[in-house]
Amino acid sequence: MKRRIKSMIKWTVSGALVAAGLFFLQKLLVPKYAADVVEGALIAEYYREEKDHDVIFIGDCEVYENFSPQLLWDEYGINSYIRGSAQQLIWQSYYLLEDTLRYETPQVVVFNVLSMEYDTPQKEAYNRMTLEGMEWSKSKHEAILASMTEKENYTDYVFPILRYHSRWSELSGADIDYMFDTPKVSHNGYYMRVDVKAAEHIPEGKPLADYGFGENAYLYLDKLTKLCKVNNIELILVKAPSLYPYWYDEWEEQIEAYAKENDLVYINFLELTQETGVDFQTDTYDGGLHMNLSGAEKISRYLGEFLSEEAGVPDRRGESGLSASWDEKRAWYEKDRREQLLAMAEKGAQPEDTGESETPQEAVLPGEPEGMEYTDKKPVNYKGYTFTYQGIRIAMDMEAQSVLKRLGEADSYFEAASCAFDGLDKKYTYESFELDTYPGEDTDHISAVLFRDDSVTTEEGIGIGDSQGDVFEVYGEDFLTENGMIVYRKDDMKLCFIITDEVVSSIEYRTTVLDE
Amino acid sequence: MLFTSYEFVAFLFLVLVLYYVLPGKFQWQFLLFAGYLFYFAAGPTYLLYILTTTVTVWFAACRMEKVRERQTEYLKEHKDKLGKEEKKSYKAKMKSKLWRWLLLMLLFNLGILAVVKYSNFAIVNINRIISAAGGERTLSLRNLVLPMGISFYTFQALGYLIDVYRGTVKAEKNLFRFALFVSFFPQLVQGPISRFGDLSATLFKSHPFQARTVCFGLERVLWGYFKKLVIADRMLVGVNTIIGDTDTYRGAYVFVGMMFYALELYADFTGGIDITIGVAEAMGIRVTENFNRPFFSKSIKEYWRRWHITMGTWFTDYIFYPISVCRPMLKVSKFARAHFGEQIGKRVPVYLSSFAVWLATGIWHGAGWNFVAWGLGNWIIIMISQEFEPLYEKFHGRFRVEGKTPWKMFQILRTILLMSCLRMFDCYRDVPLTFRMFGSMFTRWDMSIFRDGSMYGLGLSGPDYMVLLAGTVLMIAVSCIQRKGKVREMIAEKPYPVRFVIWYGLFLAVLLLGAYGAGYDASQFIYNQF
Amino acid sequence: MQELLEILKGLHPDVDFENCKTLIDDKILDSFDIISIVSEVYEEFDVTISAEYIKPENFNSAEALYDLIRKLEDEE
Repeated sequence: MKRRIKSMIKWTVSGALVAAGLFFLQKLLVPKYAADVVEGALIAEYYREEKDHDVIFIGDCEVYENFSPQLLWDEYGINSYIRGSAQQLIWQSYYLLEDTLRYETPQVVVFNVLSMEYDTPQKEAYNRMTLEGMEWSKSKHEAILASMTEKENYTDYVFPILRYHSRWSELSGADIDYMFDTPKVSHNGYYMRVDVKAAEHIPEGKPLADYGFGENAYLYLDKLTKLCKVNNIELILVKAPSLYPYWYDEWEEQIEAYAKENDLVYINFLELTQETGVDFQTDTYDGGLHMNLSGAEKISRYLGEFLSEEAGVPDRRGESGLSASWDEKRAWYEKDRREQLLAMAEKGAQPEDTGESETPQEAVLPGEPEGMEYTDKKPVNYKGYTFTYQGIRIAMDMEAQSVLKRLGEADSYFEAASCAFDGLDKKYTYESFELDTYPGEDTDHISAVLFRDDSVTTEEGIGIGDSQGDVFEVYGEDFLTENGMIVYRKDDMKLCFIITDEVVSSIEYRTTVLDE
Repeated sequence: MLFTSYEFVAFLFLVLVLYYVLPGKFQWQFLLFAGYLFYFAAGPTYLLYILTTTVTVWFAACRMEKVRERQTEYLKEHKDKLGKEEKKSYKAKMKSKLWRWLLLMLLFNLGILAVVKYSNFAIVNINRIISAAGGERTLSLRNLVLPMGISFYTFQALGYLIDVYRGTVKAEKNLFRFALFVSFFPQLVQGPISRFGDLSATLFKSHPFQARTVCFGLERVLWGYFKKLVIADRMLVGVNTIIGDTDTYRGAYVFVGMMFYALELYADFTGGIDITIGVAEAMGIRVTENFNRPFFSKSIKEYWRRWHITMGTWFTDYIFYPISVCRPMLKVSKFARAHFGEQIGKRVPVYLSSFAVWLATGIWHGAGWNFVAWGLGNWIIIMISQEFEPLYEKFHGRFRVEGKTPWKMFQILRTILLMSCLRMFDCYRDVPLTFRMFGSMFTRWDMSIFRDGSMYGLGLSGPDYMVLLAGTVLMIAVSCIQRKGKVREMIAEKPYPVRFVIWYGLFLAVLLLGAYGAGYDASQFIYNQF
Repeated sequence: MQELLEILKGLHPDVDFENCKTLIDDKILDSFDIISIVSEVYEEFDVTISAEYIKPENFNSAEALYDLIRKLEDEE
């Protein structure tokens, strides 16, 4: 008997030690999204709130950077919350709403329609930022299943330590500081930025083979519409005034038609710059992708008026408890704004700021001695299809500097920050083609070349305007079809053709190393 | 289901629990079920292959046993009536019956293996010949799936059949028991190649739960995962970088890649076998050891007695001896003795049969000329060292270094280097490229890569190198302890808290330092496609 | 027996074949030696030791090997 008790104690203590050890290790190893990439913390913050909102926003960065719930409260007494996250896909928006309905039923749900462009799971990093913050429920379970890319594993969501185990070598002080308690990063889901970067050359959208939204995307839009209907919620579709990613006319038509068919309100802020007063010189912080505080407040003001006038969302400023909590929020809203302005002023005092109108070639080649040829650090891999322009041979994934230098100044230059991550994707537009780069470890690499007219051809002699038969003759019939494009894969790249009426209408070289 | 997948860990846990919950007499039947489930998960069509081999070999073995029984009975009955000559001719008749069964089965089952594994290799080479001869039409490649572990289970089944033919084991009458022998799930993926006589000793018995057995088994499994995930898969990143870009990584890099690959292959393969044997052990089943600290070998010949032992003995017993002692070979040898003298005559059977074995070993490892070159490379080195033996003896007569530690160290290093060089055929998978890369070590050697941070450009960071270093030291330490005693026995003698810390430490090491999951390319065990 | 011992001595002059009973277990004879033995036995005794008889217990000592040869001679 005594022995049995002893052994029971032994096993209980061992088990407890194992469980406790794993628990603390997991807490230590998971990313905290506190010091940087704060966008990853947005979803989880909702659960700390008093859940009594009249308006819930769902969607990607076009909601959490463009609408200010604080302003909606201050000016209209609307109690709202943004459940946004970086590259939130439509099925994630749907399940996030389901999850929200477990706690509260708002009067209005605002959904930003940009994510209709994605029909399949995209990137693990974004999935993680949206899904990990969710509390466990059937909705989370289904959201994970709907979102996983092929390489992902459900078990890794159940036990995040399995996913983040290798972070031991990159732990920082923040991981210990925020092990159990992360700081608040958003204002009711709004991620505030006060800096300014004017929008300049916004590139046109690349031609697509198929402008129709995907079946899966529509399926979830239908589900979303139905869920709102069943719960007696008014669903409002919006398109934020972001100039990039490009919003195609064909997409606009589809959304308009859908709204009409389902009797929904659709507000496209891209067409309302007059009414909202958004000025792309002062109201964006990254050259037209996202609004800064000034822009967000302008848009919120417009939406607030609509919500209270047309949708009848009540003014609750009379409720003392709610008022008090918003007063508190306002204090930290103002503090955040002040601190950012202060930091900007300090930074602005130093000549560190790299103006955006600078010629990019100079910016990427600091301190290069005059007259010296830049040589790539790594030999170029010419195993895939390559493009030669005036004797300059361009291969995918090669380092961009020397090619850019030889091509001379681009007609226009555009840089796009990827949501929540460091590094800029850059686009250089020349007369007859566009060249895209992505940030590598310490230098930019070429990610794509897109033909703009028929003055250039591929190495093998195919240009825009050639027939489908010419393509097959030159490249064979061993191709894949992706999104309606004809794709020839070779090494780590692909050569994509869009054929319209049996004629080549678009040619693009693309790397596949960025694909997941 | 790879050993390193979550599914396998879950599968293993369930199997172990059910195995000990079930009454002892059902345990082996349950293992058969588990084996087929495991195989089914890998691919339902694979089942057809393993079933075919199982049923045909089982049937042939039973028939052969019948022939043998009839022979014994007949001889017993007619003991007094038969003269010596009559007896002999009767025996010969029966023997040829047995032989026909064996031959049929060898052709059939090796035929399946040849078709699924080597037909594309053959087609590629035939096409080369056709186009070299100026032909226009070429054969198209087949798209055949290679069933998991087909080489392993085919060889295991055929080894059994040859044993039955030779009368060294009795045929297993029960189809299901035989099916379990062929499909025992821990060794389905990558061997070892068990003999029926060895495995059946513990496979079909009932095994009541014993904490010590289970604990020892699981300790070994954990150690296997450590080798596989912490060392091999991390190292693989560096190996792949080097062999993936032969324009950049030449000269000293080739040497680095060669040594990395030696370590990676060792950790991967022995780790996998540790998992196999450990899982079996946790269920009370003994599987033959496949390694005996091979990197301590002093010669290539010794290395092959200590590395992938079950494959080596399989080839020795079922190919090397039969070829070298068959009558035609003996006659050739006699002829050579008579015409070319004693020295050459003596060598003929050794050279010819070891050539055959190494050719077969090479092809067994994969369908490609690089594997053939690799096998023959081994053969050449072994033959050269065989010829050098008298020289060595003279050398040792003059310099008394034999058996001294520095000399042993030299021999060990020499063996490691030679084996690593040969493995380049396996790395680069292309014979001319391998020679080019090998040559670049001498023509483009550049010491500076070890100093200027180039080593961090291989996909391995500072912390990775630290882990690799620590892991390798631990592996060597364990090997050294094993020379004198048993590591697990030593752990078992320690008080519980110490044991707990060792177990938990090893578990956490695998969990945190293992190169698994997103961010690491899921790598298969190097050996499971053989 | 004497002939057999001579064959063995020819391979490894320094081994005490009369008394050693662990020729295989102690790795004194390797596979190449075994083949040489088989082919020389074939010459001297005109007996074929087929592969199924090549197992440690038949080659561990000169005595065992001799018994095997006698048995095979008898059968042929």
